[in-house]
Amino acid sequence: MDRHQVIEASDRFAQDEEQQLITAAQSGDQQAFFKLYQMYHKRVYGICWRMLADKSSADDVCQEVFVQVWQKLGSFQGNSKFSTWLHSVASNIVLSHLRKHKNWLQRVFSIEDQTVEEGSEDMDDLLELSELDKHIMRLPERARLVFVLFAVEGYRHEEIGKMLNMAVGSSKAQYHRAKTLLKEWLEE
Amino acid sequence: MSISDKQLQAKIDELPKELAPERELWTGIEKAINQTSANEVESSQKQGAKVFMPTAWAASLVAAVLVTWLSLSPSGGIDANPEPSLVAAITQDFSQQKQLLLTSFGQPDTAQLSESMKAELDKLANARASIVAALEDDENNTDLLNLLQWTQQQELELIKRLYRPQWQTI
Repeated sequence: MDRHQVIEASDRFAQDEEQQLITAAQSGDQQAFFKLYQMYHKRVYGICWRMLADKSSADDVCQEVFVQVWQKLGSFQGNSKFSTWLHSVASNIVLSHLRKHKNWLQRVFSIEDQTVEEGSEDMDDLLELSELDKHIMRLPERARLVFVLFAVEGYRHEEIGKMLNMAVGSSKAQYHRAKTLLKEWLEE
Repeated sequence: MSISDKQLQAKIDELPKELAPERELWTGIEKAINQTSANEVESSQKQGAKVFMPTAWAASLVAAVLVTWLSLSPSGGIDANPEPSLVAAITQDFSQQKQLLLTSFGQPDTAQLSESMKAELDKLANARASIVAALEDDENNTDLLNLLQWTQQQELELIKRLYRPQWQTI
């Protein structure tokens, strides 16, 4: 058995194990669900923190994601990979959280979101982040959401447009805006 | 120094896919899950209570029909048929369906049901037994046979509602 075959066999084993955990969790096995949580919570937390740019909200929303995943697990048919389904659930919950917590000024006047001044975030919260991540947190909300979904999570602009209720062109424009700002900040 | 798209892409590719929360999050999730489950059980019990009303009504109807039928029908069970009867076939079919259903729910222990739920199941079982007893005297009575099948169906429906797993109702 060569190295390639060993990797393939190991992947298959991991997939089988994951499928068993999903099936058990679907039947109400909380221990199996805890194992799925252990496997994926850091990945989900990454999506939450980057999209929300707020550690405390990321904690709450990450918990909300797993509570809702537990409730919706019965509807997971295995048509896509579990991780893909989980990311999609997480992204949608983050967006729903942002919509709910938009302040009244933003709602009424549709104020264009602003960039966050460097250093305004609690520095302790950002210490562990890479330089690029620190700048992503400073991006205006819509530019940040588009950038994270497109560049980090791999969604297409068409998908992002639907998720954020914006035109495909707007999604591309926000991505361009994010890239320009990030390059500018990285050059400083 | 100006940064090219390629250099930016390289930095994006280097971003860690995972970020670890500082706070322990599972305890809160577990609490919320258990709370949700408890609420669902409560709501399913409330729903169950609504189910019991038609069930009780059904059992009463069966009893009323039986009393009327027994008081009007000629007494005496004559000419008992030694051949396997239609009643026996229906009863056997029902027993198999019920057993299959209970097996699919992992052979639940009926002793763990609340008193009101046990009482509802008992009412239906008693009604069924009364109809079977009445059929012994008139085994081809279509009305009674229909009533028997209907009562059996009510019992199966009630078992399904009582033991259906929580996650299927989400």
